[in-house]
Amino acid sequence: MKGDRKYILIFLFPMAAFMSIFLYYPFFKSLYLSFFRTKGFFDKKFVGWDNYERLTSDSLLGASTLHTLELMLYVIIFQVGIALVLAVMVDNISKFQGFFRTVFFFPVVISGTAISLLFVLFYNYNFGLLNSILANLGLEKVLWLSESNALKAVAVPTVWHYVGFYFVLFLTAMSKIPNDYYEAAKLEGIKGFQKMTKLTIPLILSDIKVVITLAITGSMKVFEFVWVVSRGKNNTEVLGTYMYKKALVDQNFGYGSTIAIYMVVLGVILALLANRLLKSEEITY
Amino acid sequence: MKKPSLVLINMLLIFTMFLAACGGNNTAKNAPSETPKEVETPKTEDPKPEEPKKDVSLRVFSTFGGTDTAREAFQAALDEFTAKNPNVKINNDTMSANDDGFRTKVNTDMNSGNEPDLLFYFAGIDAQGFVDAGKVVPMNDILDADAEWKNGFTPSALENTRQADGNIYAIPLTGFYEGLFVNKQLFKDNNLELPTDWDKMKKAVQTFAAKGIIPLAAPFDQSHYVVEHFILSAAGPAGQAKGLKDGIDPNWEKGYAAMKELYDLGAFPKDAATIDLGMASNYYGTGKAAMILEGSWAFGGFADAAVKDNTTVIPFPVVPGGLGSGKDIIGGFGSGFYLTKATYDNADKKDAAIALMKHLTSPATIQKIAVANGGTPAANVEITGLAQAANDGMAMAANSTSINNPVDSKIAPETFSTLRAAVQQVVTGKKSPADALKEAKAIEDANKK
Amino acid sequence: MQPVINNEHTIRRVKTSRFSLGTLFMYIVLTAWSLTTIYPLFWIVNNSFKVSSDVMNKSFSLALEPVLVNYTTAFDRINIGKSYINSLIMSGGTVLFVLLFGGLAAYVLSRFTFKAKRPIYSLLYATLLIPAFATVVPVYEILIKTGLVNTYWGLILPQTAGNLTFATLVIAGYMTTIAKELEEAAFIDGCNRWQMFVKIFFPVSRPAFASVSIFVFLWSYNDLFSALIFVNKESVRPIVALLNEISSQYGTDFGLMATAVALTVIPVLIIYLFISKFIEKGLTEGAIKG
Repeated sequence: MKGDRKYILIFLFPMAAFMSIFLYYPFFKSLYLSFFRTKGFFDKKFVGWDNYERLTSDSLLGASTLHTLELMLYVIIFQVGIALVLAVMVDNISKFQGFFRTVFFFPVVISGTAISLLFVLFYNYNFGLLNSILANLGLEKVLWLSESNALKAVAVPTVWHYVGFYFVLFLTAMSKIPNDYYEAAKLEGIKGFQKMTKLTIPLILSDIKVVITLAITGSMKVFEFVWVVSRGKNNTEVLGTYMYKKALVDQNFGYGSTIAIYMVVLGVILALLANRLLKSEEITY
Repeated sequence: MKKPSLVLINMLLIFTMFLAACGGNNTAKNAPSETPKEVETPKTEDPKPEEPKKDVSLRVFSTFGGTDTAREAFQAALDEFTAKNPNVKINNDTMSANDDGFRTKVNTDMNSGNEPDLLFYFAGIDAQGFVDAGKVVPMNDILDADAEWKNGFTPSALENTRQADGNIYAIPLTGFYEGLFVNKQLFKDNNLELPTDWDKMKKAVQTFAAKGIIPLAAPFDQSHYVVEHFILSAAGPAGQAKGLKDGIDPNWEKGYAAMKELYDLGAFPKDAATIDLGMASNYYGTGKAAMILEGSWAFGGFADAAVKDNTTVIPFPVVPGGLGSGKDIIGGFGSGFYLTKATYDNADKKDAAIALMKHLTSPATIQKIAVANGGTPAANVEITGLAQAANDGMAMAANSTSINNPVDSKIAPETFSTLRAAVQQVVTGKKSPADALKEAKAIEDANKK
Repeated sequence: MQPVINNEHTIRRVKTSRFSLGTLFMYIVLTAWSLTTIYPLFWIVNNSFKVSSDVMNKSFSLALEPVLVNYTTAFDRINIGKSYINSLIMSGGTVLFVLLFGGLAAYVLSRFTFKAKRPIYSLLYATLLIPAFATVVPVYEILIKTGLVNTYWGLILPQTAGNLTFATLVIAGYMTTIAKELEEAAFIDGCNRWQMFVKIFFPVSRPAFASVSIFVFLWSYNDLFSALIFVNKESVRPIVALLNEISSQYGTDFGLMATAVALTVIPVLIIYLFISKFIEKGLTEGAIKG
C-alpha cells in the first residue's frame, strides 16, 4: 500500500523505544559485563574472552544445557500437546465449556513458588503424600527425587503449571475459525480426530508456531520448580538456576552475564530452527 | 538521564491522546482513554537549611521485616525515637535478607545515588564494595567522641565488624553463634552420650541410623553450616582463617574426609540432596532428626515445643586428626548499622541520623532486640527470659576457646559455593577431598585476579 | 452422491444420541484434568487456615479447626485495600500500554511486507529469552536517575517493555490469518492504515487481545521481584509485596504464604472470568462475516 513505510515506522516505534530503553540497553550492559571479572557491584576488571573460554570448559554448564533441553522436550510434547488436546475437546463439547475454561486456568494464577511447595510436600521422602500412601499400602518408601528420577519429577509440575496458559492461547486461536468451515467439514463427514488433524490444526498453524516459540523460550528460563523442589541437585541443574547461582548467589555478574548471553543465543537458534521446521504457506480465511 | 524519560512519558501521553482522538466512535470504549495516574514523585528532597529543629525524613533500610523475630522490637525502638523527636519522620524500609533482590537492591542503591540514611547490612566481604567506594562513613571518630555510647558496647563486638582497612563502619546490634543442636531426649532414649567427641558422634550416628531416626539433618545444597563446622574442626581457628589465598591447607581435606565417614555411617537424611535448610530444620524440629548444625536464629523455627525444650547446643566435635580444640565455635557480629556518606554530608540530616543510630544501638535497644532474636548482644547487658536451650547456646559461646567468623567470610562467594557443591560429590565418593579443594582453589584464584 | 448421503445419516445419529461414546470420553478426560487443577487452589485456601508447621507436616488434611492468624497478620502487615488499588493501577496501566503498542506492532508484522520483517522476528525471539536478572540492575539505575523509583511509572514502564514481545507475537499470530478481503474492502472505503487497525483488525482480533491482556495482567501482578526493587514503598506497594512478609533468615511462614497467595489469586480469577467472555466464539464471528 502507498505510504506503508511511514506507518511501519510509526507503529513499530513505541515498541522499539520501550524495548530499547528497558531491555536492550540493559542487556547490552550485560554483554559489556561479560568481558569483565566482577567482584560485587563496585569492582571489575577487564578479562577479554576469559568468561567465554570458561563457557566452553564448564562441565556444569554442559550438564545444565542437557537438562534444560530434556525439560524443553517434555514441555513441547506434554505441555503443548495436552493443552492442544484439551482445547480441541473443550471446543467440541456443548455443555460446561465455561466451567472447564475457568478451572483449567487455576494453576496458571497460582505462583510457581506455592505450587513448588505443594510438590515438595508430595515428593518428600520422609513424610510426603506419595510415600505416606505407599506406607499405608504397606510398600517401601520411594526416593522420588533420586539422581535418575529427579528431573522427571521436576518436569511434572513444570509441565502441569502452564498447560492452562497454552490451552487459553489455543482456544483463542480456534475462536477465529469460522463456523462455516466446521459445517462444511460436517457435510464431508470429517469429525472427531480427523477434524482435529485435518481442519483445526492446519487452520491455527500460525498460532501453534507462536506457542512452540513461547514453549521453547519459556523452558530456557525454567527456574522456580528446580530451585524449590530439587535445589538443582541430582541432575536437575538447568540454565536458569545455574545462571542465577553464578550471578546472584556467587555475585559473579561477569560470568552470570556470559551465561545469560549463551542462553539467548541458544534459545534463538532453537526457536528459529523450530520455525523453519514448521514453515508452511500462510493461510487466511 | 532526566530528559529522555520525560520525553518518553510525554510521548506516551501523546500516543494515548492520539488514539482516543482518532479511534472513531465504535472503538472509543475499547481504547485506553485514561493513562494511569502518576503519583507525586516522592523523596522529600533536602529541606532548606534554616531553623534548627525542622522536619527531617530518614530512610532506614534493614532486614527487620517479614518473619524476623525482632521485627516488633525494632519498630518499637523506632517509635520511641520519633516520640522523643517529633520532627523526625522515619521510613522503615525492610526486605528479607533471603530475598533474591536484597543484596542487589542494596548495592544498586548505594551505587546510583539512592542510598538509605541508615543501612542495616552485613559486615566484611559483603560490604567491601561500598566501603571501598566511600559510600559509608567510618564511625571511629564518632564513636570516640561519645564515650558513653562507645563504652556501652562489648569491645569484641565492635572489633568484630572492623573492615579490612582498619576502620569500623558497621555498628553491631546482636551477633550469632553456630553449633551442633542436639535433641537430648532422643539421646537419652537411646542410651547415648552427647556427641562431645568423634567416637561418641560415630556411635550416635550408627545407633540413630539403625533405628530409622535421621542422625544429622543436613542438606547438601545449603550445606553452609556443614562446611563451616567441618573445616573449622579439621583445620583449627588459624587454619580456617587463612582461607585459600596462600594454597590449600591439607587439614581441610580431613574435614571432607570426616563428612564422608559420617555419610557412610548413614548420618545424612536419605533425601539430603534435594531438601533445603528449611526442610532440614523441620526434620529436626519435629523430632525426626537427632542433630542439626544451625545458628542462634534457629530456635524460632522448631515446630514442636518439646523438641525446643529438649535441645541443647554444643560445639562440633573434633574430626579425626583435626586441629580444633573441641571448644572452638563459629560466631560473630556479622552485620550492623551503616551511616551513608550522602547523609553524613547533608547538614540537615546528619545530626538526626547520628542520633537515631545511637538510639538504635544503645544498650537498651540492643537488649530488647537480643531478647527477641536470641542473638548475642553487642552491649554488656543481661538477657533474661530466654529458653533453656538458648541459654545453653549463650553459655557455649561464653565458654568457648575461640569464636571464629565463618569460613565464607575468608573466601570469595563463588569459592564457598564450590565448597558446598563438593559436599555431595565427596560423600558419595565421586570426588576425592583433595580434588574438591583443588577445584575450589582454582575458583578462588580466578576470583582474586 | 452415495457417500454424502451416508454422511448425513451419521450426522443425524450423532445428533440423536446426544452422548456418544466419544463425547463421554471427552467429558471424562476434561473432568479428570479439572480435578488436578482445582485441587491446588483448594490446597492453598485450606492451608491458609493453618499455622506454618501444620502446613509443612499436615498440609493434606482438612483445616477442621481453622485459624485466622494468617489473615490477621496479612491485614496487619500491609494495607490490603490500598495495595489492591496500587496493583490494579499498575497492572492495568501495563496492560493498556502493552495492548496498544503490541497491537500496533503486531499489525505491522502480520499484515505488511517489508524486508526487515524476518530480522525483527528473530530479535523478538531473542527478547523473550532475556532473563529478568540480567536487566534488573541497569533498569533500576535508570529509574533512580529519572526519579521514577517508588512511583507507579516505575513499575509500569519496565513491565510494559517486558511484556510487549509476548503480546506482539501472539496478536500477530492471530492477525496473520484474517482474510485479505476485509482489508481490501476497507482500502476501497478509503481507510488509511490507522483506521484499518482501529476499525477492522482490533475488533476482529478481540479474542487475542483479551487473552493477552489476562496474561500480561497476571505476570505484571505476580511480579514480586520487580515490585520489591522498583516500588517498595507503602504508598505504591502492590499486593504481591505481601509475599515479602512470609520469610526472613529466621525461616518461612508457610501458612502466611498460603494466605498471601489466596489473597492475590482471587482478583485475578475474577478478572479472568470477566475477560474469558471475550474469548468466546460468538463475539468474533459477527465481525468476520460482516
